Amino acid sequence: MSGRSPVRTTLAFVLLMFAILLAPPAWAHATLVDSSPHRGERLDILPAQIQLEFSEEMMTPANVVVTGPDGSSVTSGSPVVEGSVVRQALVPGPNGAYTLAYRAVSRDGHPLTGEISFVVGDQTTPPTDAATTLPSTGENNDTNGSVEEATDGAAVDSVAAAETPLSRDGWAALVGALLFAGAGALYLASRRVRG
Amino acid sequence: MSHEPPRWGRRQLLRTGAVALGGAGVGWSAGAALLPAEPTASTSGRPGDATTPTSSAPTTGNATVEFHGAHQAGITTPPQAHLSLLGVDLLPAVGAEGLTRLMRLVSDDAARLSRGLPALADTEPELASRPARLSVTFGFGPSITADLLSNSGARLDPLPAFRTDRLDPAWGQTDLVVQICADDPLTVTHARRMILKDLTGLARLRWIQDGYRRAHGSEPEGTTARNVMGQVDGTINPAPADPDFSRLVWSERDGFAGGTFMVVRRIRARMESWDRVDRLGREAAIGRRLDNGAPLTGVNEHDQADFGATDQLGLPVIDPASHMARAHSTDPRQRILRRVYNYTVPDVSRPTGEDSGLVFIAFAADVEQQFIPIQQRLAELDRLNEWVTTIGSAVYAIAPGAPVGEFVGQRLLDQ
Repeated sequence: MSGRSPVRTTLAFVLLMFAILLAPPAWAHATLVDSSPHRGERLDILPAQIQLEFSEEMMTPANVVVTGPDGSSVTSGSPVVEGSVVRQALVPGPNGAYTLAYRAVSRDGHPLTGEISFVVGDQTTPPTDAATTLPSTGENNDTNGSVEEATDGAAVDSVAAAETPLSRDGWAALVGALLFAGAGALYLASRRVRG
Repeated sequence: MSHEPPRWGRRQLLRTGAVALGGAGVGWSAGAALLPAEPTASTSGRPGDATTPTSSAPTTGNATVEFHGAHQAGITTPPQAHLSLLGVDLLPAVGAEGLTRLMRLVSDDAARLSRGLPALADTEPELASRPARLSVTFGFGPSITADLLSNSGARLDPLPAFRTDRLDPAWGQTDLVVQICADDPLTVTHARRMILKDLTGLARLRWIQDGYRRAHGSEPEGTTARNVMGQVDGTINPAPADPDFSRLVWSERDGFAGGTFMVVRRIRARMESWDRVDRLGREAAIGRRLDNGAPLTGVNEHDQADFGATDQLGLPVIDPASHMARAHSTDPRQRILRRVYNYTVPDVSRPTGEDSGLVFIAFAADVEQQFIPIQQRLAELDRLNEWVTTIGSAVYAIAPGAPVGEFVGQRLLDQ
C-alpha cells in the first residue's frame, strides 16, 4: 500500500461523514416541490387557479396572496388544501408581472413561506429570481424593524449563519466528522503495523 | 492451560485508539443531534439570583383570604400556586334538606381553615396553622339548580358539545364543585381531606383535578402565567379595576346577585406531537411571541394585536387561524375571567412520562353570551387544536358570597 492512499481514504471519509451529519436538519420540514405556474414562467393568459405542491401533507387553512401588475389582488375565495397540494382560484387579470406569496403549515406546525413571480403576456421579460424562497425568519415585524433583537430562535440562527463561516449544526457536524476520521486513520495505521 | 500476559503491541494500541475515537464520534453526533438547535433564553439565568436566605417570618404561610363577603373567595383572588378541584355528586336520596346540611358543614370548615383554624373535629389540627391564602369556592351544577334551587336566578344549562371535544365522562358534569386553592400544597390537601369528610353520607367524590402555577414568590407579582406548553397564557383578562369587570363577572339576576358562573374544561396537551413543533410553528399557532407573550405584530406583552397587519409579501402577520385571532372578538360581551391552572399527572405509558395540560377555569356572568361563542369559534378553527384536546367539560353556578353567620348557598336553598 502506498503512503498516499490512507490520506485520500481518510479525506474521503471525512467528507462523507460531514455530509451525513449535516443532512438531517434539512430534511426536518416540508418543502415546496412544484408549482403551477413555475418560478419565472411566462404564460399566455392568467390561469383560473394556481397550484402549489409540497413534499408532504399540509394543514388547512393556507394563506395565498396573488398580486397583479397594478398591485391589486386577483384571488377569488380561500385557498383549498388537499393533501400536499394547495390551490387558489383566480379572477381574470391584466397582462404583466405577478407575484404569488404563500404561507402553508406542515403537520409539525412549521409555516413554510415563499414567493413565486411569473409573467402573463409578452410585453416584459420575466424578472430574475435571485431569492424566490425567503428564509423562515421569525415574523416579528415590530415597528423598529430590529429583527436582530428578536430572541426567536430561527431569526437568531439566520443572523448567526450570516456572520460565521459555519452554522452551529455545521460545526457540530465537522467535529463529529473529524472524530470519525481520526478513528479511521488510527485503524488504517494499525493495519500497517505488524502484530 | 497456558497463561500468556496480554500483548499491548503498537497494532493493539492503534486499534484501541481507533475504537476510542470512533466511540467519541458516535457520542458527539448523538449529542449534537439531540441537543436543541436554538439557544434558549431561559437557561442564561439572571445575575443576582443567588440563593439568599429568605426572612424567617413565614409571610406566605400566614397570609389569609377573607371567606365571608358579597362574593365568594377564589374568583378575583390572585391565583394561588396550588389547586384541587373536586367534582362531587349528591347521593341518590339527598334532597334540599340534605344539601342544606352539607353546605352548612363545608362552609363552616372552609371558613375556619381559611383563617388558619382547625376544622371541626380536625384529625390533624396542626396542618391548619398555615392558611397560605386558602380559598374554598362552592358551585352547583345544572341538575341542582334545576331541581333544588328552582326559584333562584342560579339556573343554568349544561354546556353544549363542541365538535373538537373528546369528552371522557370521568371528567364530566357533576352536581357540585369545590375549588380549593392555596399557596401551600399541604394546606390544600389538608383542606380537601376535611371537606371530603364532610361529604360522608351526603355526597360522593367523582373526580379530583389538581393543578399548579408558579410557586408563590417565584416571579414578580402580576407576571402573566405560563402554561405547560411554554406559552404566556392569560394576557387578555378582565381585571377588577376595569370599568366593565362587574358586568362581565357578577350576575345581577334576581336572587343571585353577587354570584357568577364557572366553566371547567380539562384540556390535554399532546406533548409528544408538540415536541415536534419548532419555535416558529409554535408562535404561528398562537399568534404571540414565546419569549414575552407579545402579539406577533407588537413588541410588548400588552400591545394590542393588529389583526389586519401584513408582512412584506402581503401575508397576514398574525395567522387568522391562530388561537389568539380565533379567540378574539370585537363584541365587548365576549370576554371571560380566566383563572387557569396547569395539570401534570405521571403516566409511564407515555414516552414523555406524563399526561399534561390545563384545568381551564373561567368565570362569566352569562356563559351563553360570553363563553360559548368563543368556544364555538375555536372548535370551528384554531391552529392550536392540532395539539390540544378537551377531555372534560362542566359548568356550575357559583353562589353569591356568604355574609358572616351564614353558609354558602343559604339564600338559594331557603327559597
